Formats: sequence, structure tokens, C-alpha cells
Amino acid sequence: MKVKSIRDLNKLKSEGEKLLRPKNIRVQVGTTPYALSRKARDVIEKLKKELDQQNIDATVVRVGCVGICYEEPVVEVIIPGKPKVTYGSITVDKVPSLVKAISKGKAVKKYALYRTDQEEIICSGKTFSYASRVPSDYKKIPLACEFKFFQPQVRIALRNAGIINPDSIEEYVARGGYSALSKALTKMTPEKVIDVVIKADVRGRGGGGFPAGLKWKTCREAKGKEKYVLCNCSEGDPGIGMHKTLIESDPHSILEGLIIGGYAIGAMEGYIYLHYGYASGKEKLLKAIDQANEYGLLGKNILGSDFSFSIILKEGAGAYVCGESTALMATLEGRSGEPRPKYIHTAEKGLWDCPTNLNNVETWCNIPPIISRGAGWYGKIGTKSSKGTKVISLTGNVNRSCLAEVPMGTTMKEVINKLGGGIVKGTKLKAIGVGGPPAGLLPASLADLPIDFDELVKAGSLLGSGGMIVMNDKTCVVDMARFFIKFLEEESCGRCFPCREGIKRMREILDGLSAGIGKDEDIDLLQEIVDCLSEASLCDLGKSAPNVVRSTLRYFREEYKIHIQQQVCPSKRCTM
Amino acid sequence: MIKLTIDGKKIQTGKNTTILMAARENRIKIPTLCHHDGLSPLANCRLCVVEVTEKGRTKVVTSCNYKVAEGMSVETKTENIIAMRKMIVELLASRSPNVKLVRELADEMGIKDTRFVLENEKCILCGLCVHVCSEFIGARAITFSGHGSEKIVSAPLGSSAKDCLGCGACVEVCPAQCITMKDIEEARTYSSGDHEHLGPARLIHNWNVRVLWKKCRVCGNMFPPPSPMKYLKEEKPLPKQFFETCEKCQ
Ligand SMILES: Cc1cc2nc3c(=O)[nH]c(=O)nc-3n(C[C@H](O)[C@H](O)[C@H](O)COP(=O)(O)O)c2cc1C
Ligand code: SF4
Ligand code: SF4
Ligand code: FES
Repeated sequence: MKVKSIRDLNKLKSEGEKLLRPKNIRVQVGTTPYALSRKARDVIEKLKKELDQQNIDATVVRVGCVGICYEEPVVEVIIPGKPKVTYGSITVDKVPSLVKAISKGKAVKKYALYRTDQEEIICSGKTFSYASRVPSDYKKIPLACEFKFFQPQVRIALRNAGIINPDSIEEYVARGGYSALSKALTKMTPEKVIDVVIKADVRGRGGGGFPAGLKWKTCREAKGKEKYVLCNCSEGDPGIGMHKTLIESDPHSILEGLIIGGYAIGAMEGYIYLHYGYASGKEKLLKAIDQANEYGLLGKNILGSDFSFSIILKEGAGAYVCGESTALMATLEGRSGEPRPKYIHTAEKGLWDCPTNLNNVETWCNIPPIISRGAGWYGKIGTKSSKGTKVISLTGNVNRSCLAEVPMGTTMKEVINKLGGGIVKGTKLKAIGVGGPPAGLLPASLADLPIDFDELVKAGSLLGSGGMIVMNDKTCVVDMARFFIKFLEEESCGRCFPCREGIKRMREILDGLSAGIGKDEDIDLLQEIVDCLSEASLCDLGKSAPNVVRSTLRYFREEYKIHIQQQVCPSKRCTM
Repeated sequence: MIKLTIDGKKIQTGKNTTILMAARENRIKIPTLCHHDGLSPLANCRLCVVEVTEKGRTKVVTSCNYKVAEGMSVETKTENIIAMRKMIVELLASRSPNVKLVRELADEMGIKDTRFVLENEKCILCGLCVHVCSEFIGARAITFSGHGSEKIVSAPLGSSAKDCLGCGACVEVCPAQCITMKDIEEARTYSSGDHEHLGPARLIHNWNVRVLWKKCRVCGNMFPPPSPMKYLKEEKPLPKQFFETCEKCQ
């Protein structure tokens, strides 16, 4: 079926609604790779078997990730007319009692994390109500908004994550999907779309925080017949799963964003650049692209308009530096993934020297709701200079690692305490690393800083891609700096002198410090290297590589001195 | 014409000029290592950094690839810039303490000792050899391989540069003078026993190649690979079939 009009889209929508809220029971299980590693597949099999044996009319659906990694496998049960209940840590042995309760239309309180009586559909602003009346046994289960993990969250990019079957375009449409595209194509000129994105003041989620609207405008106004829009799903940062969650939980939101971007900028082709060897994400995206093509949401004359657009998926080389914009474009062109000097913006001369607009996946996912609900709505979320939300991947010495989305302006402390369940017992917070290896380490005393592009830069760190590593007092900052610098040394492309030689020398000095053979002069020497690299390097890898050293020298200088003067590591991490 | 100032000096220059060219036209010296007039800028060495103020904003850029603009003001010798250049040269002098040009630069900047562990790399990885071979000669016989501090220039996959024409452009542009090239009168097959005599040839050791003399397409005489340097210096493209024609018949 080709969707050629709003009427057709509405038909698709009602099909999706039937899937999302069927007349029978819907049981949904999170099946991201992490959930699968915790035996989600066995749980699904067992669920199907038990439901079958008990003759219960139910559908088991695989969904993406709600972000409560520590509670995987997560199972949600929707019984018509009853609140949705989310269960955590469901193992095969827990399935029979769960199914028994389902058969009676009841909930199992001891496995339940929270219940959902009603849900806001982000793209439309409407509320969907699961149950008008809450049965008494359900009342004992806390509401989602009372569940600590959800309290600080506002889920825009993750609006469908863990709620829909990522393989179903119908379910995506039922949650307001592709209505922004339809609005843009039928009611807005490309300039108007850009205007909304500028007014919404969306800043790039890939690290730099560059205003997306301005970039779009430059690209639209740049001379060139062919233009490209690109989506950066490179994610070379170690141990961060943000892109993965977005791709595997809601691939259509990326496509919709990209298609709207293509329309606004005047591009006919879009590329999604995916990390090499990422099979599950590739499969999800390819399937979504196929579906969108089949329904006429991609291809010629989208939704019956004059606009034609196609999306090509490309697998990258896998190196961290390939996520850098010019290196990414070089890889797409089939050249080696090295950054190029770019005094001419890629918005004017990018892929094959054509005007090109690159945005991060999370940036793209934010576009459809902004178009649907307008800049005014978006502007109310977040801080003055950082609008909207940020997906945060929380790891390190917290009680729970997780992936969540909070409004900009949420403090790091809230993230650690509410989302992460606080610091591991018996230890204290020492430092926070936001934004992956190129970010700086901030001391515990700055935990009250808000998540905000400018505030973090002022403090000497970066919001980066939103990976947040929490370190307790058993961490040695010299050792930590050494760990990050080692990573960057291996990932530097080696093209320009300061980055290639400077990072290596910083690593040598840090090696010396942690081996107890540091010298007093080392601190000044480190500082000199930091100052050189951060301005003279060719690309942002080299420019941001010194952040970790600069910030630790600023906030933890004493610890460096103890390593040098007393030749001891206060945290007993370095072996001297 | 574009008007700008460099180190306070009012300057006029043509459109499309880089800061480095404008500075040189006015005898303002900016050190460079990876720049060659006949080739597009590589911007690898970062030694040519300067401070540029445009529309009230000041930033550090490399002068070899940053174009001049009306009203721009450039500072080439601020404390910050000198410190960066010194650090780059110190890093370089630790990597390649025996490269003449590096030593000269270090002397000029007053760097006596380096504070890092000394290495002895002959190649400074400026990239000019790879660049001239690909951009000007068009042979693409050599490449970078590896990354980070493991990066090297070599024949593809570290074997023999089979596309090398033996022209020696890489040897000529190498600022570290670390590419060795030699002509021999009699090349032979390597097999033991009966050697086959192949005639005169040129060896480039770094790329692991031996390029035999060719027959001129006009006169039929054998001739050594011709040098393209004249054209590179004059910034003219190579004539067609340059490598098939001996010097006399060019
Ligand atoms: C070394 C390096 C690695 C990067 N890796 C990524 C990445 O994995 N994903 C990403 O979206 N952006 C990455 N970036 C940022 C991109 O260059 C680019 O700024 C971004 O994709 C632009 O999109 P945005 O404006 O929507 O953030 C990286 C930058 C550098 C310097
Ligand atoms: S800064 Fe580092 S990663 Fe970037 S071009 Fe230079 S060597 Fe390569
Ligand atoms: S061999 Fe010479 S020209 Fe080539 S990269 Fe090394 S120093 Fe530069
Ligand atoms: S001469 Fe400009 S970077 Fe090397």
C-alpha cells in the first residue's frame, strides 16, 4: 500500500492502534542485545508456551529498550481496560506465575516495577488512557511517575523506545509517526521548516552543540544542485549505547527526521552512517527503510507531493575518529577515514564537494516532534541556552547503569541519584566524566552543575554525546586520565603533528607518574602540551583530547603532586 | 584586491590568496614543514599557525590553508603562537632529532634540549611524498598506513610500490631528506643460478622498488625516469605521456 494522503496515513494509524492496543492481551518484551544477553529470548519462548497452554488470547511482541538496563529482561503486560504494568528482572521461572495472574486479569505486585494508567503521545500531545478505572490490586503498584527512574525524565528522542515494536511502521505511525513529515510536506515550505528548527534552537547532540537550524539554513542556501543529508550513528565512544538504543528501539524516528531534513535543505539523498560490524542495528534500519519505501514514505513523490528522497545505509570503518564529520564524509566517499582541514564548512562543501548537512542520530530523532508541536512547545523544555532534552548513558560506580532522557538543566547529582540509584554503597562520589574520552573530569563539588552545553564547557568539560561516567573515591584521577589518553592515542589518526606526537607524550608522562617516577616539571610540561594541542590540532579529536588532562590538573592538582612528591597513589590504583 | 593587516602591517593582496602567501609576499616569515607551493595545502604540521581576527572574533588557524578576507587582521608572532610552535618543534625534535631541518628549526627557536624521551625516526610524517605522488604525478604509488603514533609512509600494504614511476618527486619534496634513491647500471633478476640482465634501473629503497629504464616512444632509445620537478616548480601540469618520452624528445 502506498500512503499518498493524510487519509491513507490515518488508515495506517488505525492499523497500528489495533496492534498497540489490541482487543486481546499484549505482552511486550525488551529485546535489545543487552536484554538478550540476559536471556530475554528464553523468557519470550516461555511466555508464548505458557500463554498457549493456558489458552490465553495474547500476543507477545518484541519491543526496544525502556532504559532500565539493570532490570532486564523487562516485560510489560497490557490487558485491555487495565493499566499497563511493567515487570523487571523476569526470568524463565517467574513466567508461570506471571501468566497465571494474567489469566485472571491481575497483576503480580512483587515483580512489578510500576504501572501506567495513561501515556502522553509526544508527537501529538494527546493523552492515551489505558484504564479509566484502576482496579484495587493495581493501585498497590506505583505509578510510572512515582518510579524514581522516570521522575526526572522527559522522553522526546526516546518517545517510542520500549513501547513499540521497532519492526512495525504501523505502530510507529500510531504514536504520531510520520505526521510531522506529512505536516511539513503539505503545510510548510522548506524555509518554514528551517524557521521552526531555528526557533526551537535545537543544538546538535553529537558533541559540539552547534545550532542545527543554522547549519540547515547554510546548507539550503549553499550553491549546488545536489545536496546531502547525513545521519551520524558512528558512536565510537567505548561503553556507550545511546545510538544503539535509538536505532534498535525506534528506527523510523531517525528516518522521519532525515526525510524532513532532506525536504527542508533541498536534498534528494540521505545517508545513515553506521558503526562497522553492528549487525542488529543494520538489520533494524534496513527493514525500516524497506518499509518506508514500500509505503511511499521514501522514494518518488513522497505522500503524493513533489518531493522525492531516498536513504542509503552505509557501514563505516569503525574507528572512533570516523565519527568526526570530515572523516565520516571521507569514509563515505570510499577514502581513508581521516579528518580534513575544514575552513570551508561542510554545509557548503561536504560529501563529494556538495553542500552536506550532518547531524547526530539523536538530533534527527528530535526533529519530528518539534515540527509537529512547534518551537514554542520545545522551547519550554530545557534551559535558556540548551533547549530540549539529552539522552544520557550512565555508567561507572553508580548502583545502576542505565540509559535515560532528561530535560537540559537537570543536575548531574539528580542523574546520579535518581537514575543511577546513587553511588555504590560505602563509597563517595569523587569525579564525573561527561561526554566520553574527550570530556573533562569534574570534581564532586560540581555535581550540582546542570546538564547544559555551555555550563559544562565553562567548567572545563563537554556534554559530548552524553556518556556519563561516575567515579567514586577508589578512583585515581591520574590513572583515569591515563586510561582516556591511551584510548585517544590509539584512536588518533596520526595525521597532524601535535595530536599524534603530543598525545603519545602525555601518555608517557602519565605512565611515569603512575609508575612513581614522575618529576616536578611534569605538571608544567603536561600543561604546555595541553595548551598546544587544544588550539593547534587539525580536528576536534586532537583539540579535545587534552580536556581530561587539563581538567584533572585544574581540579585534582594535589593528587598529581602526591604521585610525584610522595610517590604514592592515594587511591592505590597505580602500581608503584 | 583584498585589504588586511598582518602583524599590524597594512597589506593588499589578491582574492584566493592564503595568509601564508600574503605574508611571504610581504617578507613576513612563517615557518612551515608540510607546505609546497606547487601542491594544495596538507595542513599536517601545524607549524604555520597564526591568530586571525575576523568580525571581532579571534581564532587560531593554519596560515597555509586559510584564505585572506577583507578587513581581516592576522598576528603571526603572539606569545601564544610562539609557544605552540615551540611545542610542536620540541615534539618533532624528540621524534626526529637527527633530521637536519628539524635541528635548524629547533636552533632558530632556541630549543636546546627536548624534555621527552628521544627517538630516532628519519621520517617526520609530513605527508608531502604521498601528496606529490598522488596529486601531481597521479601515480598514487605510496600511502600512509597505520594510525596514531604507529603511522608510517610506505608502499601499499608494506610490499613494493608497483605503481611507482621512479620519477623521484617524493625524494625532491621530502623536507627530511630521508627517501633514498639510487641509479644502477645493471639490474638483475634475483633468482639464483642464471641471472637475467635487465639493464639500467632506478632504486627507491623506502618504497621497495626498482624501476627499469624505458624505451622512448619517439626515438626508441632507453632513458631513465624523467624528473617532473621543473613543472612542479613552475606549477604547470605535466605534459601528456611525460613518462613515456625521453628528455630530448619531450
Ligand atoms: C573524534 C570525533 C568523534 C566523533 N564521533 C561522533 C559520533 O560517534 N557520533 C556523532 O554523532 N558525532 C560524533 N562526532 C561529532 C561530529 O563530528 C559532528 O559534529 C556531529 O555528528 C554533528 O551532528 P550534530 O550537530 O547533530 O551534533 C565526533 C567528533 C569527533 C571530533
Ligand atoms: S587532531 Fe588527531 S585525529 Fe584529528 S587530524 Fe590531527 S592527528 Fe588526526
Ligand atoms: S618520507 Fe619525507 S616527505 Fe614522506 S612523509 Fe616522511 S618526511 Fe614527509
Ligand atoms: S605548513 Fe601549514 S600546516 Fe604545515
